[in-house]
Amino acid sequence: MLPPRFLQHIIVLCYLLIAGASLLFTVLRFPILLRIPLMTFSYGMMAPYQGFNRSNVDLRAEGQDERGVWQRIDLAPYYPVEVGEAIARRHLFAFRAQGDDAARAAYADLARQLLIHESVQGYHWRRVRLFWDSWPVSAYGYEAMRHAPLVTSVFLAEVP
Amino acid sequence: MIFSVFQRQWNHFWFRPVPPHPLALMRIAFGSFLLLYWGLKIPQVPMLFSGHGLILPLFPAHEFGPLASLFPPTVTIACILFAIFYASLLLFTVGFGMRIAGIVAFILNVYYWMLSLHLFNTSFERLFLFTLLVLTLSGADRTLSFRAWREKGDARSFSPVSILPQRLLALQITFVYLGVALQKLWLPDWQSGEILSYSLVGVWGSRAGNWIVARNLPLAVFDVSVSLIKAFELAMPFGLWVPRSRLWFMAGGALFHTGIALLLDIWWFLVLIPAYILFFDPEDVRLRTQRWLGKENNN
Repeated sequence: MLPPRFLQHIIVLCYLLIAGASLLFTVLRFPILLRIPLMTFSYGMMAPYQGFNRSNVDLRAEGQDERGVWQRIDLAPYYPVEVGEAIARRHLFAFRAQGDDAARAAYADLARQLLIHESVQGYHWRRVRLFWDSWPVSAYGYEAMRHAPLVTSVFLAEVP
Repeated sequence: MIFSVFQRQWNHFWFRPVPPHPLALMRIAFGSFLLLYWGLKIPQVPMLFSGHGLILPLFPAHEFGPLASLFPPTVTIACILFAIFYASLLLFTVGFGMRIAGIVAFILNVYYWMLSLHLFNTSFERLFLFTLLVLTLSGADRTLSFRAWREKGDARSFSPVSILPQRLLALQITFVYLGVALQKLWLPDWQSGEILSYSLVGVWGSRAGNWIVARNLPLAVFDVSVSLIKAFELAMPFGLWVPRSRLWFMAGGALFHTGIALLLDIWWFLVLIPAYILFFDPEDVRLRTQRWLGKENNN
């Protein structure tokens, strides 16, 4: 299955070049090294857990009922994964990396999908809106300090 | 003269024919790990990989041309695709039509990345993809496989493979540890023990992690722990290559990744523990494996 020896040499040299450049990027941070997608991919393999938040964060969704009252929407059923993964997914990193406009468009899309799915579940919200909440950390659990006046909210999107 | 010595060493390191046992053991361990990893997602397939859930593909659906209807698919299609994917992983693991199964699994894994996994955007997902591709093309099914049993009547029989895939995988693990360690030397968040204390009560913190922070230990404890982590990660890529220190570093790596899994609920890097087999001499692994399986013959 492996290609001829000549090509194997090329593969080795390309691999060493890409991995070496990615390794160099971890130290020097020259953006030019990450212009090639394979290098981005290679660097991505050696870049876990680079920092931490001094606050806890999560997405908050609210739906407006027929009386005009905003109610919290439980997002847990839509993210049937571990809490860490669920919150990472709700960050929409790939879209945030493209800039604020792309991130807001993605959150608006998320809100639209949520409106539709909630309707299927029997919750006929007139409108759905999303916020990004942050609150202090606590050794008593991730949500322990998630209450007023400790929560800071950033508006993300509202549909329709 | 120097060049010919270098060329001989280069070829010996990268291309010599070797027994496939380290690759085969890696195939079984890695395949089993993937079966567990993806198996846990089976009940959530409609929510994670179909229009039944909140799906934001990496690119707008229309950019996928004729495949647009798969971004996202209906629940039925999603279940069918996942069944194919899971069956491919199973065949890959047992070494039955491994190359085709591995390629199918790889393509579908890339699809899942673009459909949904990019939102999680993790290092280990990338590492899984790389490992799956290299193993698929490696001849890792030349022993301890359904293929070996079918061709030679004994799953323990083998035929040699190039050492190249084993070297690529071992070097990648080396680069991962080295890259992670080098970044920690200068990343601002890794210059004190704060990152450890915050992480243990952060989004990934397990109950055990929460409990440790609730003891109100002095910050110096976390400072020292972070320094030890950095020193260990920096030494790890070298320690694994040196035969004398290899077992110590393997034990250290096992302890390190188990600790992360227990304190931070990040268990996916546990797959690196069986991957340490790739640092061993293939002939040595063959001898030990065959002795263990009660087969002393060469093929």
